[in-house]
Amino acid sequence: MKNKKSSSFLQRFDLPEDLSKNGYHIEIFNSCAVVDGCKNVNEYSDGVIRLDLGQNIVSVIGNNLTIRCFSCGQATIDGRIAAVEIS
Amino acid sequence: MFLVELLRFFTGYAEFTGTGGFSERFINLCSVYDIPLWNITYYNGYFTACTSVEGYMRIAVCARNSGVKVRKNRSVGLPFILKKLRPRIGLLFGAIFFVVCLSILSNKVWVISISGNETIPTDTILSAAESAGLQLGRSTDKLNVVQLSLDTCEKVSGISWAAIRVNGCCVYIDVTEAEASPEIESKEGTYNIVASKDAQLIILEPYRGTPQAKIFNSVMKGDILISAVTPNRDESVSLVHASGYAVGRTETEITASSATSLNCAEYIPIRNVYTAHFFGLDVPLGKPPEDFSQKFTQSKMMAYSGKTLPIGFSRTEYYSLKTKAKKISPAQAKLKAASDFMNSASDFSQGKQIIKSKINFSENGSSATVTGEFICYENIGTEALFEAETTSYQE
Repeated sequence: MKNKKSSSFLQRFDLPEDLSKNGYHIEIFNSCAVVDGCKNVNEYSDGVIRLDLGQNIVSVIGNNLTIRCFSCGQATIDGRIAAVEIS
Repeated sequence: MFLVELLRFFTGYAEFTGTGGFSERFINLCSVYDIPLWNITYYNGYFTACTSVEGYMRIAVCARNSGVKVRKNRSVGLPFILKKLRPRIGLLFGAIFFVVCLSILSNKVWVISISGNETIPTDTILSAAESAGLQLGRSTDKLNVVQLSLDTCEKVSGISWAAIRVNGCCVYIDVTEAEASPEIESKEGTYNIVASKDAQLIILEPYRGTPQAKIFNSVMKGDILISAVTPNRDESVSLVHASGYAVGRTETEITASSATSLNCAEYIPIRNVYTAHFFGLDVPLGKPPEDFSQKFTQSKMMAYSGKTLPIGFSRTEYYSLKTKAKKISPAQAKLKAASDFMNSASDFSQGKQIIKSKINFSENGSSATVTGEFICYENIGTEALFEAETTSYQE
């Protein structure tokens, strides 16, 4: 309920939704994915990295995956990224 | 990314391997405890990651709670390098000393390069520049280049301009030598052209004045060849500065002799003294003798890409001069006489055309003599002041 309120507030003032408490932001480059707003690492292996975003879970699937940086709610994943799933 | 890696190198970091347990829980706990992790790479059954020095000291709690065994692979960064070098504290002082020396010495003059001189010796220009204020070791900020150029030009005759420029520790002096102006023949005064030696006159070309001798006649030394007295059309006379060209056939005998007993001057070495040169500082490595007649100095300075550096050695050889009688063989005496004769003949033949020559060698027990008889054409005309006595009108 609280999340819905903050979401409608951000929409009303035309602000990006990742500013909310459970908001997240994913950027994908050539061989790098930057995930903002992740809470935990649920699964970490060579082929898949599953990150907890609060209400959603993002899975980065590929080969030779490396967490280049993990701090302040931001994770930078490097490697051969094949797919990104949000569930 | 390079700046981040550079910053991590300066602050230092540890690379470790985690095995067993729950790696995901370990990463989450590190995030909770605010321990930075980067370059987390998963392999079969283990993972490697990097963390800061402070983070590695607090990582034990996360490892214990997640069941991961942490083992440090290596420590990277400047703090660990400095820690290794801590016993060698002298290196630090050496580095500081190096920086101080570099900052002080880079503002001084250490190389003086002179170019453009062909007839004037480099040492002469260098000593003039030194007396004008351009010495090795002087600060480049205090050099007044324009004044130095003027002073150097004033001190060395034969220089029209010396361009001085400073480039770092090098001072370049580019010299432009003055060209000698041709002598202007003076037309003032009253002069005759007279014979400078006994000869048979072959050519006589008067430019100004009256010819007094006839060609193919013999003339004695001092005879007037071209007179300064020039008759005018109104039967009066004018006195002029006579000039012309007179060639005569002359006979000259040159003799050179050498005795078998000669007084030879011999340089006897006393001592060699080495001197070390280091950035304008001359350190003698020995004591020079008090009494000596001559000294010769050889310098060996370091050079880099054609520029002489102010570091090197010089060797000064001190000699005393002693004269003593020395006996030479007749063949040596003959050789010496021939050498002296060749030198004299070479000087004599300047400006002359030798028609015929005859050279005789003669020797007795104590000396050798070389005699040369030369018949040649040469300019025998020379100027002589016209002398006239002033008489009063009544006389």
